[in-house]
Amino acid sequence: MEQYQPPDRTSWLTHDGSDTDVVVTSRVRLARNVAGIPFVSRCVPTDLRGVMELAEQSLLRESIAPGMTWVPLHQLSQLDRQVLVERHLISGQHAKGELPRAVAISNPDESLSVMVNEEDHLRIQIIRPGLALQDAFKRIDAVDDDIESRIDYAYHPQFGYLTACPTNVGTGIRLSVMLHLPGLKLANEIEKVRRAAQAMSLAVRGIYGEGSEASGDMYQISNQTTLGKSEHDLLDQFENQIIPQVIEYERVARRSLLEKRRVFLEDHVYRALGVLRNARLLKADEALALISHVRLGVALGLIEDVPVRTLNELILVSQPGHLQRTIGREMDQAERRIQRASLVRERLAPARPNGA
Amino acid sequence: MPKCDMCDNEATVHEVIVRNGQRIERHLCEDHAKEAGVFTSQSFSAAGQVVKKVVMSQSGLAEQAQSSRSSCPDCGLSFAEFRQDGLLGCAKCYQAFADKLVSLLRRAHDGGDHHVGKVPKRAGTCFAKQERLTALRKQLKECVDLEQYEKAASIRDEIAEIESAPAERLHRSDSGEPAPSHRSSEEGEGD
Repeated sequence: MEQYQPPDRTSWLTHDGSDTDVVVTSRVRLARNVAGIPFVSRCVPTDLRGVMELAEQSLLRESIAPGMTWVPLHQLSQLDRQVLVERHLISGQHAKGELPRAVAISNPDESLSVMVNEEDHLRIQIIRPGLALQDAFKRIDAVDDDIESRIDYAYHPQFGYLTACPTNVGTGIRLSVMLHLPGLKLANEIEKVRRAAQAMSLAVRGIYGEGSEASGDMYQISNQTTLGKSEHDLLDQFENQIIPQVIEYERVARRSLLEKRRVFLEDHVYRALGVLRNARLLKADEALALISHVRLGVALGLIEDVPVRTLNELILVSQPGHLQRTIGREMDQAERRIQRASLVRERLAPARPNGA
Repeated sequence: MPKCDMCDNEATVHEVIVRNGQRIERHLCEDHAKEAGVFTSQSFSAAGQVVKKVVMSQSGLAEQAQSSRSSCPDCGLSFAEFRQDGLLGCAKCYQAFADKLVSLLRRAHDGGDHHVGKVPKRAGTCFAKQERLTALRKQLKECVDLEQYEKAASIRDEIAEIESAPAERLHRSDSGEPAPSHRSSEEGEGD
């Protein structure tokens, strides 16, 4: 089996979607199980291999997506698994363990990934840059239909698509929008967003999902209700209600900082750029926080010589897995800090004199 | 009419305690039941305890006691195990624990207890349908035996509905209609 070589760029880094000043990515995930086979936690290895075989046959077809690549995770090194987690192609939970499990990835754009034998037999995901939930949903719906032409899903008229955890049953859908909210953070307004989201039964989490802290002012808003609410109602709630409101709220906060606390804001932004361009040791969290401030400066036109795309790439490449992969060897934490700082300096080096 | 263990009134609450395999029965009137702190059926206690209290107003006590420590007939998962890690074992678990799951589902899904949204196109054609019908028929028989006629009626309706679902309807997106196929919640009215 060939090793999966992740491309340098993954789809959500491209930064050519809508509302990318605030929205980093839109993700849609569907949880599905194969009828007649116990859920993963009650599977014996033979069952797991059966699911793998079925999934491989059903997923590696051109009609699903061009370039679908099969990656058996239990045969992958820890570092390679970590790289996939950092790219949001598999979950941290899926990376752990040695039982038969896999991920099928559309290569090289990586916009589609299907986790096999995670908590459910199949976890299908589409990831898009910017706000693009409708588009992501259309795509995942077609992929779901295509898979279902080969696989019988576990389904019940009252409970819908059956999932191992009853919190996912019904549509099995999770919409998840990753937002960059430094303005609201600086204005101490994040708690309001959190409460508003909670009132709509939505969850607010950090960049790497459940239990993760919101580092780099990145927040994920996702639904928790999957039973009794259709996919379209949920999409409508996200795209026409909650997300545009949060985007507007963030923009207002940014403008107000610019107008009323300009020096404070400029200091914040330029100081961050200064540290990133000069630091010799950088922790991962520190890098994320600083990149976030620079990203804000770029969005507000305070910084003109740094593309947002570069910042998105730095977010990824600052992660321990990607850093080690970029440098080409395993490193301990102390060395990672040195290499991270050097990589960031290199990528953020001021443009040649003709620029400014 | 059986009399209350404590007085001469009619016993309307019957309690069975199974402790270490030993069966203890109590028959009480409404007042003495309250006084004794016996739960009514609404506050049905969770499975997985050493002591199981089961209260019903009429017969079928033994069977009911059995079902409170029930496990899934397909994968063997017990409700207590589910409580522990929050994961069900197989599709059949949803049927096996349906009664207990519904309140949990309502809490987790903002009151939702019925699927609304996409339906798999082949839902009616695969063997899962037969599986479900088998399970429903078994349930129906159990309900009739337990004289739970209201529940039995809804199961009967569900069976009728599954059996009458024409194959074409389940394939409707093939006729060029835009996917996904959606339906309202009035279908699949179950227990």
